[in-house]
Amino acid sequence: MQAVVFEQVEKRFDRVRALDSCTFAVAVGESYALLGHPGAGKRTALQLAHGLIRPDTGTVQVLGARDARRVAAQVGLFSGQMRVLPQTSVIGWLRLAAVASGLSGTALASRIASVIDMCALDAVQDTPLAALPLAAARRALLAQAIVHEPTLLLADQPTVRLPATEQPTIWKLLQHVAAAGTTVLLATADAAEAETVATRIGLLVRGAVVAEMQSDDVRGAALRVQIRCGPLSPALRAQLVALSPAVRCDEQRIQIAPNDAALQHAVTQLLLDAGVSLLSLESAGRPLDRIYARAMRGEALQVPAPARQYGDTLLTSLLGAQMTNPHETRALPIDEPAVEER
Amino acid sequence: MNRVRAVLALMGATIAEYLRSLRWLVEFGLAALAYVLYFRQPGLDAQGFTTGLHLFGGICVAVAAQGIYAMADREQGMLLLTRRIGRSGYLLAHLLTVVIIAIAGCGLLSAAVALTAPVAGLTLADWGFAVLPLVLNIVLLAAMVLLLTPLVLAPGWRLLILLAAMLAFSGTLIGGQTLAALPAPLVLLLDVLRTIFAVPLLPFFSGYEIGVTGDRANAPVLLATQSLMALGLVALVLTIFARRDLRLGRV
Repeated sequence: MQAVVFEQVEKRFDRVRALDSCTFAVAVGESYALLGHPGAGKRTALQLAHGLIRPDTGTVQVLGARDARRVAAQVGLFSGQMRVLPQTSVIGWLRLAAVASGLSGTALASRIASVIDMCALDAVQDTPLAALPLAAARRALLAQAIVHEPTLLLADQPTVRLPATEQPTIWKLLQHVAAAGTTVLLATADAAEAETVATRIGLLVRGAVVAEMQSDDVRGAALRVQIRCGPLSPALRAQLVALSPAVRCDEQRIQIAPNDAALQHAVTQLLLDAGVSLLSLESAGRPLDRIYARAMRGEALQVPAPARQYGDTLLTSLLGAQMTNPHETRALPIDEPAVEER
Repeated sequence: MNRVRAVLALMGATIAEYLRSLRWLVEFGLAALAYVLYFRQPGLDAQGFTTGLHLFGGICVAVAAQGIYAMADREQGMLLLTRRIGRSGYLLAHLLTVVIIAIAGCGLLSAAVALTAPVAGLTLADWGFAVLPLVLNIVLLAAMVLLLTPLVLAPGWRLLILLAAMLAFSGTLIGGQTLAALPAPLVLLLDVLRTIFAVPLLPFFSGYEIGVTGDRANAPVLLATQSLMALGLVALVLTIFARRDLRLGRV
């Protein structure tokens, strides 16, 4: 059974054609990412799936209903921005979301406790929403989106503007939601996010899905990675560049280009041995990025053979290893030498 | 039942947010100012009191609506909630919040006057009779303001409604020599338009009149008209909001 079906959907806003013959389907229980550059039509697709807007032509079917509004109670919306009731506490906001979803009594209390625990919000549950750190605010937004246990979760650029070190937490939570059986439709411009969260990816180019692929088939190492870290001593920098001509660094930045897993390992080992804290890691030139660039240019697409090498982003791997439980993620001391022990 | 509970919960949260944000200080300050400058004056009669209270009620709606409807118009917030309690429930909760704030302001002012400078000849029954049309006018005004917010109507429609209201009130602006100088067909057209556009405003002004004069003979019909108008306007606002496209804000 399909949870979301778009058939030849077209939607215009004034003279702008946001979606053009957009066709794709998401199976029940599947985690599907619409990957597209800004303006590709991702958000329009999510709004249609939520029944917030209606298609000009074509059909949108959500959880078996032609009018998405009829199944709205079974849908959760997680968008990467919070601008609602800033003085309200996290618990008050979740309570409101739960009551507005029709929950009451023990079911309400138990669901709120469950999402607070899952999203690691217990320490900030009495904090006003406006006073939350960005990462906690994002987790609170996710918590309100899933407090009523939706059948379908629509995630709109969930980690936009989040620091790289915080993104894996949200990804892991979304994976957790998907693993519990909720269908996830993710709209993102971030290839790493798409291939981490979703099992299938649709490339959205100029309002149409031009190709679909399994995440496992395109997941792979980036061509370049850049590690931001604590201050590097001149001696350590000399050691790092001596590893390979592919390694370049300045006082707080290391670049590996071309990227290589063994080289990453060696660099990380040196950093950890020296007690240098890892701050973030950015990657560029992922296989999916390259496929998307070809799609943008209108070239024929060739999905590579399934990659064997995972975790091109070393820091992400380090973080990911800790994230069997969201509480551990929250407590992960990125800036502390304890990273070495992990 | 769940729907009612959800609307009440959102109303409660909105009022709590309004109190925490200290925006109530504006309404409170206005009430204090009105009390000091007008309601405290010696020799204020019942008619003067109810006139002042009606005007204050209108100002209170305008001020409260500005803050509360702006809160409702935050796209992300609106979209996160609107699907759960329904679009109508979402809008109704904000409308009722404005009504409650305005009524609270009028109640506060009335209490202050009753305690410190009672109006000669104004009994509790008279006050109650004056307040009933005032409450209905507060609902009417709150719905009118809501209709004119970007949350409900597109700019083109808002301009059209404002133009109609301007025409309805144009009697005070275009008259005398200006009117006489206009060609006869234009004067006729203006008269017709004024009559048409003034009709929706009649319940509002008749409510004000019975509140001030205490004319109980015509009150049942006028109050019924006022109630119908208020309900009709609220229904119109909810219907428009239910049909419009809601777009996520830019991140």
